[in-house]
Amino acid sequence: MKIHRLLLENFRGVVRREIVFPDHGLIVVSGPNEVGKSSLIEALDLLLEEKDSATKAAVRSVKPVRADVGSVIEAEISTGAYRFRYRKQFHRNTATTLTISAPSAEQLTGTPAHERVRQMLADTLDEKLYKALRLLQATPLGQAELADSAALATALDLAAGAAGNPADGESLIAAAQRSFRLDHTPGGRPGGEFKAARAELAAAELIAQRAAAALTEIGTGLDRLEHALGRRDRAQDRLRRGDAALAAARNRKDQDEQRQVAAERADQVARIAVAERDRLRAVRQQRSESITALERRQTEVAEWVQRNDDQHAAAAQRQVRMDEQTAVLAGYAQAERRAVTAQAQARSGADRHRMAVELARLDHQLDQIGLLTVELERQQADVGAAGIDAADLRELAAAEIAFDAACRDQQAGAPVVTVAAPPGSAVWVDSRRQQADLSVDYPITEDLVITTADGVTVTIRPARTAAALTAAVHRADTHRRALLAVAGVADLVAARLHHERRRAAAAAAEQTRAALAARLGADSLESLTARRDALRAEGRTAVEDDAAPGDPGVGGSDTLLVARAGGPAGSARRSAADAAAGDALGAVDLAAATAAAVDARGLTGAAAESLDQLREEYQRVSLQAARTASTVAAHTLELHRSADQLAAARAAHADADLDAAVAAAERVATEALQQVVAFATPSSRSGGADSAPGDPAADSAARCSAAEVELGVAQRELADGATAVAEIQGRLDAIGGQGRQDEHERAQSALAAARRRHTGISRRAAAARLLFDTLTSHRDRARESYVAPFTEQLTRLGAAVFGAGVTFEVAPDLTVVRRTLDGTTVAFEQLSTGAREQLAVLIRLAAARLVADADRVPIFLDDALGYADPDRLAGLGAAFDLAAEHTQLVLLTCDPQRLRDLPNVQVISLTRADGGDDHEICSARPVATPAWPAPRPARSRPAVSAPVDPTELVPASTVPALFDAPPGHDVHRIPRSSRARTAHRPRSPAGS
Amino acid sequence: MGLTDSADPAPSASRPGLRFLHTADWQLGMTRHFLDADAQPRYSGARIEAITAIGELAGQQGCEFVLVCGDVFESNAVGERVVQRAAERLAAFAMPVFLLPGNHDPLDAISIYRQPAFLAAMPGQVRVLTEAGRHRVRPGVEIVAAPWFSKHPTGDLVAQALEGVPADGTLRVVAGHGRVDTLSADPTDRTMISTVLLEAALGRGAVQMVALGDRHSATRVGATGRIWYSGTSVVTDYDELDPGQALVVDLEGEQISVAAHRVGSWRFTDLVRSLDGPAGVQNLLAELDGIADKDTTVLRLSLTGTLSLAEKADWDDGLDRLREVFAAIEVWDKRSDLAVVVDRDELATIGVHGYAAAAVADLAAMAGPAGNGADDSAVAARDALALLHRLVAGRT
Repeated sequence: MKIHRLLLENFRGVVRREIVFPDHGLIVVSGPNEVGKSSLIEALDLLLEEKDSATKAAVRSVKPVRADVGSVIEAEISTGAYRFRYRKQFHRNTATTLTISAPSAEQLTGTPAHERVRQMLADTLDEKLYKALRLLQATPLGQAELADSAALATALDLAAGAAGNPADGESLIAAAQRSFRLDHTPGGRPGGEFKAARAELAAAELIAQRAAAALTEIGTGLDRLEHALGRRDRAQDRLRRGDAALAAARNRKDQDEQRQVAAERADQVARIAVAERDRLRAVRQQRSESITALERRQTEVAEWVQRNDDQHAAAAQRQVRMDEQTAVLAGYAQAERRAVTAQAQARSGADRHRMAVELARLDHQLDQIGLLTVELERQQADVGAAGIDAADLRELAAAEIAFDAACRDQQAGAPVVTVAAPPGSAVWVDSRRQQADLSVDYPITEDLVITTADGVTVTIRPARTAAALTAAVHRADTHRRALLAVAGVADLVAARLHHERRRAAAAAAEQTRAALAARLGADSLESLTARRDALRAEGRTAVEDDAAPGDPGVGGSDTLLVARAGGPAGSARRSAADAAAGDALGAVDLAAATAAAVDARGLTGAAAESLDQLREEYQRVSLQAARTASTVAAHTLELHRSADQLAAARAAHADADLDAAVAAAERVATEALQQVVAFATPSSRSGGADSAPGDPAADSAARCSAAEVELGVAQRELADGATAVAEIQGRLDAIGGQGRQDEHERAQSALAAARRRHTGISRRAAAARLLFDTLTSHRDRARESYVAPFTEQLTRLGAAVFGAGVTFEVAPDLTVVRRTLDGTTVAFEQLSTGAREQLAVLIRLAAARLVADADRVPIFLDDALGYADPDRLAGLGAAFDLAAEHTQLVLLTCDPQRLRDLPNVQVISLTRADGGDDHEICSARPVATPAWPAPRPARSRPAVSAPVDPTELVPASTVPALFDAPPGHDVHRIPRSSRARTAHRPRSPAGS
Repeated sequence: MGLTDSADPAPSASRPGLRFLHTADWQLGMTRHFLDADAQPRYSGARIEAITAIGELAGQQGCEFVLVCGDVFESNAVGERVVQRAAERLAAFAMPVFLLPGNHDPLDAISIYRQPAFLAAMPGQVRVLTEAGRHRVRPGVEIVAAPWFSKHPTGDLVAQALEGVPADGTLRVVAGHGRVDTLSADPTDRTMISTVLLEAALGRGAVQMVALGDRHSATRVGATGRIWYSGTSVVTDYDELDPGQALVVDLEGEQISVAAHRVGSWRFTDLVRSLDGPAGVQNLLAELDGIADKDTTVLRLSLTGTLSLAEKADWDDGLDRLREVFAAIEVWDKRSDLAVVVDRDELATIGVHGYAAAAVADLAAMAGPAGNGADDSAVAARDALALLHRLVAGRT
């Protein structure tokens, strides 16, 4: 594409401006700031892209402020085979006019004109390349997006000589990409229909799962129901069995209880029967005893009566005998009285005689006693004179023995000094002169003083221990002496003599005393004396009495008695003789009388005694009889009572009846006891074979309660089962009629459809992806071969700017990754702003140089070289010159002076448009330029492996396009460059 | 029409004749998921239509009653719409219709036959055989029914139903459902119907005919000629033999005659073809074009062979076209292996050069030859080549 002419009217501040562009070469559009340089590019874009009716901001923004007029953009453009003039008026009186002059004349207006232009551009212009090769102020300083450019790719394909798609328009890879993008996002993830199909499949799967689950719930419910029914039925069976078991257990329990009751009743009956039996037995026993007792009582009473009769008889007999005895007694008593009288007369004479004898005997006895008493008193005095009795003697002997013993002890423990006196010597021992020629031993028991004739005194003192022995000797000696002194004898021998004398005296006294005692006999002296005195007194009385009555026999005695009483001492013998005579006389009478009296008395006594005996007997017998009678009465009373009782008892129960009753009770009791025994025997119970021993009632109760528990469990189970069945049934009723099968079928159908669709799209997507990936990978491999020519171009251009030896690392997408200069490698992003700007320009120039002639597009660089120093600028100039050989290279700048020195530069100066009908027509002017600067010598030429036609790299002279100036416009022709062009290779555009 | 069969005279005294219609396995509510949104309702509709066809057939043939031997419904959980539509068709029947619950629609806790919707909708001539054993049809004629009470019965239901049925001169037809042991040997299946017991019951004259359901192919069982599967009223799968028929049974004296009549219009067809070269493609397309009643025909194709890029494109285009007219065409991937061969000349013809040609060569290598089976990458490569062909061809 080439822009030949551009006309603006009422475009922002510009009233009218027309610029005529050369067909190729470096075109510098200069002008001050805000003169509208950038607006040129903007206007061109609006013309080509926006309809005249467009009202978007980009369009509205170009409307002039002051005038209410339409903005006009008109351009003369050739692209591909086409050449056309294209005019649009915006804002007011909008209009579009297209006049195609080549390849065939054609005129269009309005939207068809716009569409036609769009179509022509689409066919012939690589818009991506066109836009990519611009470097605008507004856009960031970047690398051109060249990789997507079909034209560039085609150019590179050609340049690389590798492969290509001969067809025009969309490449195969682009078509494949379109297919790929149909089902994928730019990032390669599922997109579009594919994504929708996946989502649809996922949703369908979810729905199908739910529907299947809903259907499964029914199946599960049925299974559960079946299970629950089974459980319920089993529970029912169990319930039935439990019922039966309980009934059986209860039956058994009832039987046991009845049996228990019966047993208890039998017990009770037996107890009653036994009690009755025992009672009857007792009654019968009592009856028997009553009878026996009655009989015995009858016998007793009979006996008692008999005995009483006997006693009465005996009493009567005694009575008779007693009367007889009384008569006897009276006779005896009379006889006795006579005998006693006789006896008393006899007795008074005998008594007097006997008293005189007695008196004489007493006198004599008293005389003897007096003699003996005197003798005894004399002998006792003898004994008292001899004062040492046997005890004294024994004491004396003991003291003597003790003394001897003490002396022996003393002498045995004492040292002995032997004093030997030689003949003629004089030695004194204790002041006693020791006989000469003697050797005398001296026991030293006390101080011994030996004195010699010389006056030598030797005092030998006993040992201190000998003092005790000496003291003992003294004590014993003192005791002995004291005793001897008391006894009044000189020594023990004398004592013994005394003692012998005393013993002889004592023996004589004893003999006397014995004689005295013999005289006394049992009487004491006083009693003898008293009796004698009494006898004397009585004797006197008797004499007087005798004298009175005048009894001859007796009278003699009385005299005697009086004589004895008159002279007791002298008449003792006489009395005794008298007495003896008197006795002999009186004793005969008295004795006879006495005997008669005694006899009489004896007879009387005996008779009285006998009578007393009889009386006593009689009384005894009578008493007995009385007692017996009362006994008989008592017994008889008793007998009658017993008889009455028995009779009463018999009236109630005759003996025979009683016997029968006892027999019956015996029988009843026996049977009842057998009954009890029968109940008490376990083996007799019904079903006793299988019953365990123990309490049957407890057993059956336990069985009963176990059966009840079992029944309760079964009932609960049944209830649970029934509840479960009802619940499940209810749930099934609710969900069974919901048509879940239909839902399931629908869901499955939908799922199958989604799966089919997904499978189809997946396959399609997979195919597209595979195709695109395969193509892309092959293209990338091919592109790597593009990199070489591009790098070649870039290096060539770069050498002019950065100096020879600069190299670049270029990615397959044709972006510069690093620059290496003088051995220093710097990433693109790390380069200085100026270098990046310069490199951005160079990338565009390199790309522009690579595209085919037909694909060339104008390159716009808007105020691009602000950072370039003069050297770089000069280098850039060379690059520009190379690039602009076949291309319109438009530099917009406010500082044309910097660029004036660039080679082959053509300048179009814009002035500020003021005023109403300011009309400006601008065209390029050549400037005086220095000679073509020689390229810097390459320090190291990069190896070029790609087959590049070297001629492509040679600057070629532009061919002035046919330029038909529109009529009515003064157009500045661009003068031919002063520089000679070589190697002119005319292009031959098709159809022109 | 259809197959006709006569059996030897039954060894019993002559009795008055009986004609009835034996059908089974209506499977109402069944869907086939490989059918698309257009074909699916038509298929479901065809199952309903078959009811009318059966009613009309029974009327034309003067059948006393119609006996449906199980699986009347696809499931106890079918929707009310299915029930209502079936009831609507059954209402037009001029004779009693006996429905036997089968394994798909057993008399379990959610039985369709006990649901209010069914009870309210079904016309008076419809009677459900809900009790095992004898059902009086008319004096001298009984049905001995063996309905299913759950999906998992514990024994031979038919044998149980036959217990104690006397040979007393009553004409009896057994209505059973399930597999017979002489056709499906499975010693572990206790629900299997004993053919021997059936023949014994026939032999002693207790029953005169055994009408069975469950097997979708119309089938005569054993040698008596009196034990039959009617098959399904409308085909449900490719492997069914003689589906889509109903049996008109004649019991006349000691004779029996069974005549099959078509009632279902759909066909499921398996096609196994090899596909090689342009002629192969054209021949198969022509063959498919020649199939009648395409909109009620379901095809399942098992294809093997090798095609060029262009031939494959032709086949794909043709298949796409045919898919529009057939009820459904499935390509049975597991049994298909259609390779694509890439010819350099062909590439040149369609103008593929440079790196694109290299890419095509890669893809062709991935696609591999026919006969080795096709894994996913081979399938993708074949599809990619087809796509390339379309892109290129679509542009030139």
